[in-house]
Amino acid sequence: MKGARILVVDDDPAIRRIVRRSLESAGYDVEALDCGGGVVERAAAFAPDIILLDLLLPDADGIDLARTLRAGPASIIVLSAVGDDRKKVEALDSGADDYLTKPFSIDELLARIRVALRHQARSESEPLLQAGPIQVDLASREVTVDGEAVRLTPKEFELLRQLAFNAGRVLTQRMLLASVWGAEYIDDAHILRTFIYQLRRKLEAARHGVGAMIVTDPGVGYRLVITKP
Amino acid sequence: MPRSCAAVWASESYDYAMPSRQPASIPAWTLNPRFGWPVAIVALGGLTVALAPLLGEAEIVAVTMVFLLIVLLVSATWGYAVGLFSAVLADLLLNLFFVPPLHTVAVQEPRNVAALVVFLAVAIVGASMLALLRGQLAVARRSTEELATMLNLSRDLALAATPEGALAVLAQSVSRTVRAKRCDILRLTGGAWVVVVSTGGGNGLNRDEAALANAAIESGRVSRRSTGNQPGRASLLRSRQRPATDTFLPFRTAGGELGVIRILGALTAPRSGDLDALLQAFADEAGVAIHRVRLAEQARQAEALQQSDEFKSVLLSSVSHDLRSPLTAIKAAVGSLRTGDVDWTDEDRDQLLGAIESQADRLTATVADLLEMSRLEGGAIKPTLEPTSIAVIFQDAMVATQAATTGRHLCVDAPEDLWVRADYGLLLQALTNLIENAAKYSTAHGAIELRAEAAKGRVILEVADHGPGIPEVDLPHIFDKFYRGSTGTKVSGTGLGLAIVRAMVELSGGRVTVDSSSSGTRFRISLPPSGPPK
Repeated sequence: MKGARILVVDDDPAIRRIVRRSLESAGYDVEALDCGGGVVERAAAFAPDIILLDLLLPDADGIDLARTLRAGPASIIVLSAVGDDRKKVEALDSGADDYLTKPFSIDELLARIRVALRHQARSESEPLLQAGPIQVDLASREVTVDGEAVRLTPKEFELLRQLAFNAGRVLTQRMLLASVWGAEYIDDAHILRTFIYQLRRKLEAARHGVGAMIVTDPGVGYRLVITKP
Repeated sequence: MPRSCAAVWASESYDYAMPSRQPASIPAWTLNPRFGWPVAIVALGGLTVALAPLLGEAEIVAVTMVFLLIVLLVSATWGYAVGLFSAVLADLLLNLFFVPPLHTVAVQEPRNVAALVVFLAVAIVGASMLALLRGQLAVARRSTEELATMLNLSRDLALAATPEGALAVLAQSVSRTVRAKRCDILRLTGGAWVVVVSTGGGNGLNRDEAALANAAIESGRVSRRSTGNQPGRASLLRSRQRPATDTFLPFRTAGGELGVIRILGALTAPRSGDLDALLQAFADEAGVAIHRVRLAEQARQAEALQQSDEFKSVLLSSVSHDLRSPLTAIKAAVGSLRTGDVDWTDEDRDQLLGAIESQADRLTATVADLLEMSRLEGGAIKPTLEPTSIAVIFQDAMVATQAATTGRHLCVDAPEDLWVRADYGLLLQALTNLIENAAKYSTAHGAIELRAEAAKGRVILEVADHGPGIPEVDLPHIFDKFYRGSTGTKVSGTGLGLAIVRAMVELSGGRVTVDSSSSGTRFRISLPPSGPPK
């Protein structure tokens, strides 16, 4: 999806310059801002598909910005510093779509942008989700790995559906607990861990290495990685 | 003070520890003057009867000597009044029964008059002298007892392991000596009274009590509150016993800090003690003890600062090395690429770029480890201890380390229903680090084993490899920050990995140990067991 518009918000000129050049050479249309001040106005005028938002801006709280920007159509990828797990999770729960930890490689950045754009193109009504060898049929509620059926409980199915629908994106524990079990379960992390354990075992039994496609982002949540197997 | 000196001092003071021991073994009740009067009468009467066969015939001087002996003994035993009485009685008996004419007060011979007068004078002077000595002896004994109390206290204070312990000993000693219900020692910190030590759950002061404590500090004298909870005026305690319920005894430390000893319940002076002097001595000791506590606190802070200084200097030298070497490599590679006069082949260029990338990764790892360590040490991480399934966390750790363990066999041996109480995130990170560590330091393609079992009320998690093992000299230091093995291994690291593991495991309520031989290394994490979550 070349030609997508990307707005980069970072106060470091070196990062702005390098990211802009790399994204432009990858065929994207890029604008860059050095502070949070005019982001909302710029986002309205430029209508970006993706906003790369540094969480540590000199004049604004990145989390507040993410909350404001989620109302728009753009996907938000936040850039955070090493070890800032809590801020990361807060930003994701506040409406950010994904995150990248600084320092990141350009390859990683491009991969996340591709995931975000692919997700935007996806519609809720798709009858079939494909993630690597995993196929989730939403109509018949059947899951297959390499064509072989995998028997899942309703909750396991719902969990895998969430992960597959958001394939490549991180989902926080609270998001998964709220969407699969309901808002009153958002703090029961052990339930989620147990179901992830079962789901991985069943997928792994179907084909070696598929269970490990569900990756734990320590302190953040889970992600179904589709570049593997 | 050398240890032997302290021992001698202690054994000396042990003699003082039995102040009730008397010089002669006379029962105490016989020393009561009321008992002296009849004894004097009986003794002198008895002597008169015993010497009756010699009535009027005996040498008067010999008889007076025997009487004098009795008078002096009585004086020595029962004091001045009984002594004086027995001197007069003896003189009368001598006059009546031994100096002619018998049975009358009249005396025939002038030399006998002189003898009786001299006898009376000698007896009175002797009795006075003995009474004086006796009084001095009593004073000496009393001060010996006070000294003994204070020496015992000093010894206990000196033997207390910590200054806080010494304060507790002091409070107990005060409470015991004056037979109080409870004794608290408080210090004035930032205008508020803080209980430093209490013999029985003493709480802070209410407004009335604080007013009394302040009054005591201002006047420098004892204040007390009598029964009925009315604030009493400041007064010195003189009598042996007072109906006071609360006594506030002010003191000041060498460092100028102020404090009070609060004594609850009526005060009883020791048998022969002066309560005021005793309380004053206790107040002085409290001042010294509080000062010691403060000095010890300062020493501890200084030590912590010093340790943190040492850590910082090790950190600086290590960080400057760990940050500088990759930066040097990056700068050199970039410089080479920019040199215009060399035509790099594509292969050379790839190599240089690869070096820049791997050195940048190394820098990132160092920064991440340093941040992690400082967060763990700085208390920024609050663990959430919850029931954690071993099977689940082992699977998670295996998925997380699959890149690092490619080409190796990872075997898991753990019961399905084993739970520990731990912080899931911290324990997962610790296990991940240990598995990566095993992959890094053991032979290529060697198996890594994850085991778990319940043993002796704990759950032991084990990460074992079949590597060459860790040299024995390195084992005790392996969890130290920035420790690198004595053998210069080629594997690079920040020297923080295992220190981070230990900090994480300990924050999570566990302990991590290591044992190693030439056939492999085993890290063991011991954690409290738990049931499944409700």
